[in-house]
Amino acid sequence: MLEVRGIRAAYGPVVALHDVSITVPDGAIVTILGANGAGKSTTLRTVTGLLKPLAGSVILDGVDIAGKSPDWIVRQRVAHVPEGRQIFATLTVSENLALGAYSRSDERGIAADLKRVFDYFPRLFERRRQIAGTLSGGEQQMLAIGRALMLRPRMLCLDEPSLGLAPLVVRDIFRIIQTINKDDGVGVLLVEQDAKIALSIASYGYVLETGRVVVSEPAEKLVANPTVRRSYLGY
Amino acid sequence: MEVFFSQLANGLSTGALYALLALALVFIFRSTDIVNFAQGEMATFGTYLGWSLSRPLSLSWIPLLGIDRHINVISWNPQIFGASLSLGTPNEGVTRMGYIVVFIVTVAISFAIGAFIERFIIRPSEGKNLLNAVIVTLGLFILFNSLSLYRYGPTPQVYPSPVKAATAVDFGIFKMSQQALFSFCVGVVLMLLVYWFFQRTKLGLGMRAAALNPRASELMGINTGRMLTLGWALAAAIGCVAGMMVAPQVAGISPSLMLTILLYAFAAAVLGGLDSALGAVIGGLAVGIGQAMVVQYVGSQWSDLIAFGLIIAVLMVKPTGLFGSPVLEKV
Repeated sequence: MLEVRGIRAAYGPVVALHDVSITVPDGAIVTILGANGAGKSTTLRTVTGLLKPLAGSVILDGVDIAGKSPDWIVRQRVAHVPEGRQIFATLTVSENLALGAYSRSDERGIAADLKRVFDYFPRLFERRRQIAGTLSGGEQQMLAIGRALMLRPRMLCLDEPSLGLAPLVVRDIFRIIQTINKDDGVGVLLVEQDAKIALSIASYGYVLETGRVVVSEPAEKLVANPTVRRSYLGY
Repeated sequence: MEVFFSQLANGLSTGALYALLALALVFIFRSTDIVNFAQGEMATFGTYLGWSLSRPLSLSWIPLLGIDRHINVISWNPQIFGASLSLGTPNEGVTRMGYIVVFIVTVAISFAIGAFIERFIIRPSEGKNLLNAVIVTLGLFILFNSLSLYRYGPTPQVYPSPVKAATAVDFGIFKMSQQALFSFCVGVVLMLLVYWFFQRTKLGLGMRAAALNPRASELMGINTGRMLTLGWALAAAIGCVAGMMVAPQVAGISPSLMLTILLYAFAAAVLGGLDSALGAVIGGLAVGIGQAMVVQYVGSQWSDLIAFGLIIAVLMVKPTGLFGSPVLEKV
């Protein structure tokens, strides 16, 4: 279980998050919605240690991880699929996946997880020797998610997995995210601009506006919420 | 034809040394975008340490004491497994076993110096302005050059070799000196080791990832700072090996040992593409062979001119070098 409590964070003098609190229960998919610049990615960055919060805490299964270094947080098996995927473009697909398991040393477990990733994404198996930069956008997103799974995460943070992808590919990817969540009971914190598809798999949602949580409700209520409908669902 | 093949062999041998130094430049450039002008001087200083260590125990072991105080205090003859490491008097040099011990210790010290420089000199100047870092490496160049000059003086000192350096080996169609053959073999073995390290080990993969995309590497749990330190350490160690191979082939070790060699290594790295390890190796061998041919068939006074003509021509026609990746503007 992940609890973000009263996080305040800033880039230099610009405060990006004021008192943001978010809870991801074990095995749940929770989504953060909001416009560009609302602080969605910043929230993820404070969870995974890329940005140190000025105040507040991030509790992972009872341990405060706020302000710890990213490599320490990765070793607690919190995986982060960053915005824009950030794959290693000139390395092969296999090398990218190996890097996902960089902080682990249980060779047997890594081999098993590699097999699982290839089961989820057969396309990656076909292209395992290919240079990652030559993959299509959808395949690169699959690689970024597969790479995160190589950590055997207990918490999976996804930043805009639909970004720049065709609707059909987006549907595929969200179906797989849902499967992964069901199979392993891994908690998913999903940041997404496409509110419709995010709410279709999430159980709970938060809406951020200029660094503040303005609405937090179960997904089925959010879908019916008039403000959310107008601003984020477009009907 | 024998002259041609002998020159080819010599070219390959010096080329392998250029390639080593070019590799060191590439490692640092790839991971930090810094061209390390001090690479050669760091190697010279490391080689001097090796020279100090290869002498019988004396005051010269105490760092920065100055050459004029190189008096033997004890006629100590160190041994390992019953084998003598030193041949006694300072002019006799070391035994083969002694050479290997000195080699390993010197490389290890250079490795540590490289790590120290990255951690305490380069890192504080990084990330603000690329020009700062470049000026810092120029400062290091002068620092190490002065240190070598102050500590050991301008007179060349004889550097030991485990082989009969000047004796030629006759291969039938070509001849090369034992030292040239030895340094070529060391160069090739070291390059293969480096290749194995980066392609086949997890740490090597982590270093490549950190150089490629530091932000994503952090998300993989890679300590990118440690990878940079390791990169500088490796570069310093490799450069030092090149220095120890060069010294017996020239008049001896002097503070200007690596000066022209570094310039040729730059030519090699630029030719191959500053961010390509394969390019550094091929560039190094090409520059080595080219230089040997120019010296033989055109005249030795032309070799510098041609090398630097080459750098300028490559930068004009193909700025990324033969194997370099296209420059991506970072947004």
